[in-house]
Amino acid sequence: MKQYVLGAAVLCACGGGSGTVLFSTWGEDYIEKGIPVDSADEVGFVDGWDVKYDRFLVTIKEITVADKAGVIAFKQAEAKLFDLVKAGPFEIAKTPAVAAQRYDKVSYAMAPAADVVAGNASADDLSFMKTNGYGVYVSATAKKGAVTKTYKWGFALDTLFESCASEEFGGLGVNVPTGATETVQLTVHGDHLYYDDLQSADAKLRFDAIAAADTSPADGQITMDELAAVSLTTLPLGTYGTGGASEVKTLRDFVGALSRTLGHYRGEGECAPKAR
Amino acid sequence: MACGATEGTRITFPMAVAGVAPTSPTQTGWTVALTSAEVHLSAARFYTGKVLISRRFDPWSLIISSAWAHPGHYQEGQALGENLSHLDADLLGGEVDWGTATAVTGEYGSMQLTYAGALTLKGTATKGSEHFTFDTGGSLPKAKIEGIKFDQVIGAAKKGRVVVTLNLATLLERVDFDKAGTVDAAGILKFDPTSEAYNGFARGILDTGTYLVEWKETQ
Repeated sequence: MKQYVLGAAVLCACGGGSGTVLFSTWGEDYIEKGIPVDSADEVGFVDGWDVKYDRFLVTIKEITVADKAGVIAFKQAEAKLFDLVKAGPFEIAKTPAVAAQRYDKVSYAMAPAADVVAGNASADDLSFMKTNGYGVYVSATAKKGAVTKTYKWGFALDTLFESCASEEFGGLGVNVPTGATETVQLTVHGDHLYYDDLQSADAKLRFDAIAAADTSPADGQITMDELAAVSLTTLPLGTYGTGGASEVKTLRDFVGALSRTLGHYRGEGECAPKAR
Repeated sequence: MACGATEGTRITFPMAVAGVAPTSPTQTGWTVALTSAEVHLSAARFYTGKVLISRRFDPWSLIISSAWAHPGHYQEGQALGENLSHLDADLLGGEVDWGTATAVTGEYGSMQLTYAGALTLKGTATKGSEHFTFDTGGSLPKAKIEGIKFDQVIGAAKKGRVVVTLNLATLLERVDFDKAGTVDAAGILKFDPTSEAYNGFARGILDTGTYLVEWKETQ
């Protein structure tokens, strides 16, 4: 993408009118209310677990809107931190008036940011994320029958979600209407941390292997170090397939790879995640 | 041929299969010298669908991946071609011809490989004072390996062929030979299909990063 930004005045000088884009974010029911056991009515964990988040912090930055040629119409000025457990959606940023047209290139990042400011997150959460250098942090409780597990996982990964597209909203990017505001939701899919395959169309939500990692000590808390101790070769074949991600060898690697898939676009729309 | 893409021009192209033997120790510290790498293939099918994760991807050390990395989102798309030739080969013997694919021109995204039987590696594995003569055995975790990356526009103007190269080091990278089973009366460590070593080997077979599919122009 070209590294310059055309001012709104320039973009609006073409006589085709102008409009704005309001970017918001939402964690949907999976993050706000929980991920259920799979059933005929709801997609959930196929191995009998349910998960409820108490914190789901994401730093969203670098929202960028550009035309097909890569000329940037808008770039988010400041990174913002959101706790998506709170009932959303939440506004992230609104563009100034830009030329009313189709912008094929919309992207954003989930990544640590030293200068992140609060979206809806608390001052304590803001300080916590900066101190630990996380871009994504989840705290949750998983239950299956009488068994309860808790976990607090931070991800210091930097992922750019580019080439965002939604079939429902016309494909790549966003269409800015004349004299109106188009709302674009950067949707976060909190169930993706538990898929059992990085590529298969038949991936299922599972938690048994993650729960079983709680061994050092077996205290009901599942740590990243415990996940790192689980080689995928100890898990049943047919689960935790890695597609072509040959370097993903442990459950920690696997969950890390999945954390790069949290970001979506306008509900079920997709972006291409790029590790930076 | 059951190709769904009807707009392309019908073409054919020859295919070949090759193998690349390990040249350095595995991540588990084993130095492997292969004596055979028997492969039995029955089909290659080509599709428009792009691959989700298609290259070595380390989620923690930030190696760049430009691939789509969304679980469950690989869709094969339209069929563009297929090669239904049967092939039995030892990949250590160099590149082997693998029949001809009938196809249509178009933008290719992925390939599906179908095994006709087990992929069996034999050789020796050494780690410090430990030394095994091994045989991975006759099991196959899955016959069809889907979503192998093949980003290539194939037109009618230029002739070419498709070469599928199996990285045998990737196949063995997850294998800890200490966890493969027991040595038989002939002194061969035969992989127990329920062992952790076989699990690692099978994951290597299922790893689409094991397979490099290339279009090589011939004129």
